[in-house]
Amino acid sequence: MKHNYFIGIILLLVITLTGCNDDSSTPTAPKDAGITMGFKVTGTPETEYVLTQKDIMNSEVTVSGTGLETQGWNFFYQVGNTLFVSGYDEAKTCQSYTADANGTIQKGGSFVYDDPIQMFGHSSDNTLFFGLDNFYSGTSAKTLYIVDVSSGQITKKVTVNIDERADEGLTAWATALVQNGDKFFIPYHLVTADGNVGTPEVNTAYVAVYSYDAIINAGSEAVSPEKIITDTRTSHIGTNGHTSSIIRTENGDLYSFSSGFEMAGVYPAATVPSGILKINNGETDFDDNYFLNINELTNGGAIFWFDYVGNNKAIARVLTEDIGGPWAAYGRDVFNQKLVSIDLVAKTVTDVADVPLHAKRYTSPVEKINGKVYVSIETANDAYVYEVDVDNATATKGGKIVGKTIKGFFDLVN
Amino acid sequence: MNYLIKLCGGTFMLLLLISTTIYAQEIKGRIQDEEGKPIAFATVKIIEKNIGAITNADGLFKIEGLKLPATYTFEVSSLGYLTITNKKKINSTSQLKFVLKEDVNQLQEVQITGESTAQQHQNAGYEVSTIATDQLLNQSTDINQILKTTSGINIRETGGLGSGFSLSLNGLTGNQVRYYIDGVPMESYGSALTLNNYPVNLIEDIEIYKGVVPINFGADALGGLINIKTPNIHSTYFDASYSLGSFNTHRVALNGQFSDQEKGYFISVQSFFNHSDNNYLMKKAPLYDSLGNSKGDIEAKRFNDQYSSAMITAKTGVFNKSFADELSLSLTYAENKNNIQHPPNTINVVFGHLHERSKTMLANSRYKKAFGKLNVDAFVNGGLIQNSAIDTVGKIYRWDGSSIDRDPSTGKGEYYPQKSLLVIDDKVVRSNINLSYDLNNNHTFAFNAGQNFLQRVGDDKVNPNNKTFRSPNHINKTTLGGAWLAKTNNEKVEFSLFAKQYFYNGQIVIQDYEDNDITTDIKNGGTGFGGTLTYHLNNHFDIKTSYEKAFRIPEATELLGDGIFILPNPELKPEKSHNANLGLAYNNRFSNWFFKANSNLFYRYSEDFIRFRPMGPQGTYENIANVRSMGLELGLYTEYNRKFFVSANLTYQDITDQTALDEGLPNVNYQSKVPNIPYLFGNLNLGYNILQTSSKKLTTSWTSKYVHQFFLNWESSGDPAEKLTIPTQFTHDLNIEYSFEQGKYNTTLTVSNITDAEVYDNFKIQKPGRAFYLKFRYYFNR
Repeated sequence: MKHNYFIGIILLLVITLTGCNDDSSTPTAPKDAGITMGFKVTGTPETEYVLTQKDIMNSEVTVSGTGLETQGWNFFYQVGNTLFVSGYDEAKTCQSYTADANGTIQKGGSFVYDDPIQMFGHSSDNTLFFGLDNFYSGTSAKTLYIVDVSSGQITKKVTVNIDERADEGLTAWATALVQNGDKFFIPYHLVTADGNVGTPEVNTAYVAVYSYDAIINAGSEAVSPEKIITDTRTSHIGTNGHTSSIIRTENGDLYSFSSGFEMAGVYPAATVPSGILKINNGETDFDDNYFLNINELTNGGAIFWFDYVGNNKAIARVLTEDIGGPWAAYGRDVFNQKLVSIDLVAKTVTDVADVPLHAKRYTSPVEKINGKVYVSIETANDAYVYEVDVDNATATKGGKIVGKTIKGFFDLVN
Repeated sequence: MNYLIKLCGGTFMLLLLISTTIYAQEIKGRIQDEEGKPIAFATVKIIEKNIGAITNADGLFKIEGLKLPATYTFEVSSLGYLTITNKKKINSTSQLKFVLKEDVNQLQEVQITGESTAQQHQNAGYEVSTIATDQLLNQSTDINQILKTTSGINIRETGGLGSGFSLSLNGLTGNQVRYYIDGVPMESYGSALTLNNYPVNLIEDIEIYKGVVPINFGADALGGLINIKTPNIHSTYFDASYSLGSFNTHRVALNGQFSDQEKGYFISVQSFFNHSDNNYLMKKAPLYDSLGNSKGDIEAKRFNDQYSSAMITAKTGVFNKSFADELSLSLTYAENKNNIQHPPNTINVVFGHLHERSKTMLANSRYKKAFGKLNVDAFVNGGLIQNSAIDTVGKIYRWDGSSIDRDPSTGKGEYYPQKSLLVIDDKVVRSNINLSYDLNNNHTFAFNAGQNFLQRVGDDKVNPNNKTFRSPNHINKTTLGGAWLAKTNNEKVEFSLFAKQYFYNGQIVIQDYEDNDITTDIKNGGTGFGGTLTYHLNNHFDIKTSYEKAFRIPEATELLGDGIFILPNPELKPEKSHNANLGLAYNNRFSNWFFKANSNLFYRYSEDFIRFRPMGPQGTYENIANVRSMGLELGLYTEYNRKFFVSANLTYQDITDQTALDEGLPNVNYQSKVPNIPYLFGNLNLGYNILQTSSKKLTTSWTSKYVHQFFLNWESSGDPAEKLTIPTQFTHDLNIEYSFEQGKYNTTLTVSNITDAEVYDNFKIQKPGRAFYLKFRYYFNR
């Protein structure tokens, strides 16, 4: 009872102080209900939930009696304090979620898309959410959905050409959508347009560079890239499903990762090493003087996923070797992903201590929550939340995941 | 263990073949009404011997173990008919015929649920429901609507006539339940012929085998089998009907048969045509603007759900010849066109042109002969099935009927990322032979061999990138079965033991990313077995129990993939299941009351359920889940003075996920109730015979159906206040039927969903509201 009283005073103080510091007229910030997650249970069906839980480190993470049901397999993508849950099934529906004044997560605007949007991005001011459809067959242009974050409504659909080569039977498969100043970058895989998703040109990195203005203000005409930049030091940029294959640092430099492993969804596998390329702020070419050879730094490994966490540091999952055949990294038969911290400027790769080798199919972009990053680590027999201090490459094992996986951890209040 | 079973099975079959050399004597006959229609379930007794038999659905009976020639007194009786007693001199070649007069003071039962006597001896102990359709022939209905009112069965539809549906029998569903027409697998007929378009007028009765299936079908039925029986070849009749109703629904069925009993031949034509616009009102259709933003729900009529189907079967043959009891040949042509309003699991997306077409040509030949005590029944058929999916219009539709043109340069269709006209051609060859040998009055041995071959080739006429089944793939299933059926002299106890051996093999050809063919051979199998036991406690009580270890061999798509997103999985194992039933049946008559009740406890423990597992953009079918289904079915029937009748049934099933580990992780939902499956449902049927004279009949009936609310997702997961549910359904149908000239002319009015309730079988996919149907039928019989 005494404790509650004490906590009450502290809370009151915090609220008052926050209120003083806040220039806006809103008297109170939303109450923090905890961390919101894209949570998948086991069993048939593997239902996914938008789950919010206060303590995910000291207690099991579970949807027992809580969480909002979604339908089918979903991408979870956060822009500011809005979470977009975009289904990859026939309902073709994207639903937004925000926190209300009490910190309770509620549904916002929703829309349907014409073909499954499989790649996501956002404007650098967090007001626009981008979705792009990708196709496993055919060489058609793509549709970019420009969505107003606050309303969760589409404001415009733009037809975008990337690098569709009907005569060669190849089409572009976008692996990120990144605004940087007045430019818009779409890295991509060049895949066979016959549905086999083969990558005969795998030993080259490709990025299509657009005028951001041309994209945002496009009419009914298709928008084509201003230029396509390539680099043969490493392979196709990004991996299927992941949306953060190009990351942007505070000073506007862009870094991309290339994997090249067959198990990560290219075949044939690349013969060039997995690595990180850089596009300097304001430029539209790869920096010839920058290459981070992940293959060398990890004794033959390749990045499967990475994301930016600040201070020129990235968190990444590295596949230790290429085993299991095409798409094996997307299953749960091979457990060879290690968690690493990458210093993009110092060009170092450090294993995050005390995290077991694991398998992880899909990871939403990460958010730094109170200086830490949360990841779902799934081994052969169990799944746990880990709190990672990327700067120090350390991790703390947290709550047991009573389910199959957590696709992403989001703070929708702060 | 497996070897032992195979060894036992082998020895058993050998015994069976050896035992086919002995002969014995029997008499056969047929019981019919004054119109020449067979009377099923009639009792024939030989007073002097105090033995007897019950007729099957064709009105046929057989009594064995008699000294012939001799003179016997026969007592023939059946519910609703006057009992006759007749003394006849018979020899071994006698074919007896008895004609029963209808007891006009009595009303026929509308529906008989109980043990099928179609194969009464062979089926001893099987949990079988038989639906005799003769009282349903005047109604505007199809098989699904009839099956829905059977205990243990739940059918979930995504729309009106011709829509997609999923039938669940004691908790097992989809292709875990097999469908047959006169013992021929329904899949031979392609998608042009399904349970939701097959008209009632082409059906004599429907047998539903729950969980345990006799060997004679040669079926890999994991959860049971439904066999549709068409009219027998011994009668001459003409049956024409036309029904029209709401949503521009028209159904025509024309059937005729000429059967010459003296010359021993028959010729018949069966045909139907169905059409419906299915343009019923959706009360909560989600509207999106031209960009795709949600604008809330509107009321909208379905506008791309038209369905048409047609079939014609011509059949001819001979019977009662020295070389054959039946030798017949039938040719079937069936065709349908099905417009698709929305994908099967959502109404967020709407189509305006997307449709499917299907064509089937099938030739079937049948041979039946009794060589003394050895009965042979065999068929062979070959068919061509063509299924096409047509997505050639580049538009996007909304529920208000508006559409947006897609950028023609993208080549996109309504549904597929590229316009597509995929034609899949299947060649099927199936054959089946059944031998049964009656050793004596107590023992029968049976043997079955069946084979089922499918070759599949695909060709996309519009999208050159679509490589679905570009190279021919094939799969062949073979089954062997043996059974021993026995009964005690007093017929109090009947039992059977059986074993089934399944084999399958095939060849898969797919192209890699460099267009090289990759060929994979597949080979697998399994051994199933089971038994049945019936105990006739007294004249009123029967106890039945049965068990089978059943298999379902993977389907072609599961094994072969679709050539694009579904990769082949040659390692795929059959689904297997331990199925058990315990049934109790009771019937009695108290002066003017007739009362019947039955209950069945069922248990299904199924392993290696095949589910699609995605891996990146592609995926394979894998053996993933174990599921247990336990439940209770109750059925009651009572009638008073042949004027009022009431039937009711209720099913409760507890279906739980028994998969302890999911991809190595502890399954949170281990032993939880599997969601998105109805678990409590029932039917009530009330009938009243308003008027009945020797030539005229006016009857009315009321049917109520109830399906209790169920969850879309796991019951214990998620915020209870926000859970997605499929609401309780409670619907009522009214039927008024008038016949005159002794059933020659019939007219029937049906009002379905009389309260216009908003009903759903599947999440948010509304079914039709109130609808009216009027049916006219002419029936002539000689």
